[in-house]
Amino acid sequence: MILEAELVEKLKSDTNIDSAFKELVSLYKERLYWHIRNIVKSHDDADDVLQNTFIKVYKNIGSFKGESKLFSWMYRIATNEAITFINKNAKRLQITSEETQTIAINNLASDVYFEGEAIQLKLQKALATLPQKQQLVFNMKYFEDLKFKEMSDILETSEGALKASYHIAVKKIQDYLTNN
Amino acid sequence: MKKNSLNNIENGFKVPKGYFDEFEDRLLSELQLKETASYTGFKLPAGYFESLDNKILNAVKNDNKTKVINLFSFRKLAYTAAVAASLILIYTVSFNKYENLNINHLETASIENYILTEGLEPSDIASLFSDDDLSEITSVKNNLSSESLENYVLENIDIDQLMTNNN
Repeated sequence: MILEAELVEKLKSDTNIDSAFKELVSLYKERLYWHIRNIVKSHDDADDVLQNTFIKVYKNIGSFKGESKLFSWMYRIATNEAITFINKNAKRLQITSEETQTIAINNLASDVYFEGEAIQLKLQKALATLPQKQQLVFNMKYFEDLKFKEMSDILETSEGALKASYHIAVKKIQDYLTNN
Repeated sequence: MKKNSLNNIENGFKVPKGYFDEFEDRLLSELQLKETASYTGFKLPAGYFESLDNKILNAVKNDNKTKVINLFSFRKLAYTAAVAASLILIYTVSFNKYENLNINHLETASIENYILTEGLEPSDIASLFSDDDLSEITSVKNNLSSESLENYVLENIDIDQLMTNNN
């Protein structure tokens, strides 16, 4: 596997950018897709947001300073794009972003790309009751299996605070599942 | 006796308050949850990831092309906008000279719409207040129970940051 520093260097050069970008896409497409999908819920929306994410990455690679890892930088762009997408939808429909999320989850029941059983749907509903940051932390740890250290780089929050948020999120979700 | 003295040796390591009391609870709740539901249920169209690379590369290329066209029409648009803006300016200056506009002329609905669509952050709104206004707002007596306060702090405040601020 190509080294990250080497890849960044190629991405910044004029001659190698296309082949390097291809490599970047094939390296990160799946992880970023699932990260976005967990936030926006529907496949079509995740597909749109993922394309926008890579367009942003391509346009801004020149200003990537290497202070954080390329991996965290791309995850950060994907997270921002997904949240902006939800907020834009909410503005367009003149509803809150929480309501947009409830609509997205209600649509899951009839979504051809959702094969979860009742419990998976309930888990999504439980997740929607949490504040946005806690939802992010929960998704990244529980479903995407990221390390707290990686999450700390992506979300620019201390590991301690992330651990606390995660445990609160798990507890709240469990309470929701028991009581509903 | 020996055991006691060993226990009393300070090794300098500390754990957060209540760490051991809550340890089992934390560990079990995650394990129990994973037993109930460990995956999202999200599925993909067949062959989605295989065709994704080309789709993304095309999207990036198309976006770059559009950008060039945009730049050209932007200049045209800028000229038109500049002319329109000057006309509006001349109109407002010459015809509205004596009308004093103030906040009361705005409909409440327009203000609400502006706040809704322009994405004002609480910090933007806070910057409109003077320090005196703010301290008046914050000094209002409230009857929050200590339980809800504790919950709020736990869920919304970055404890690490709070500790750093106190140092």
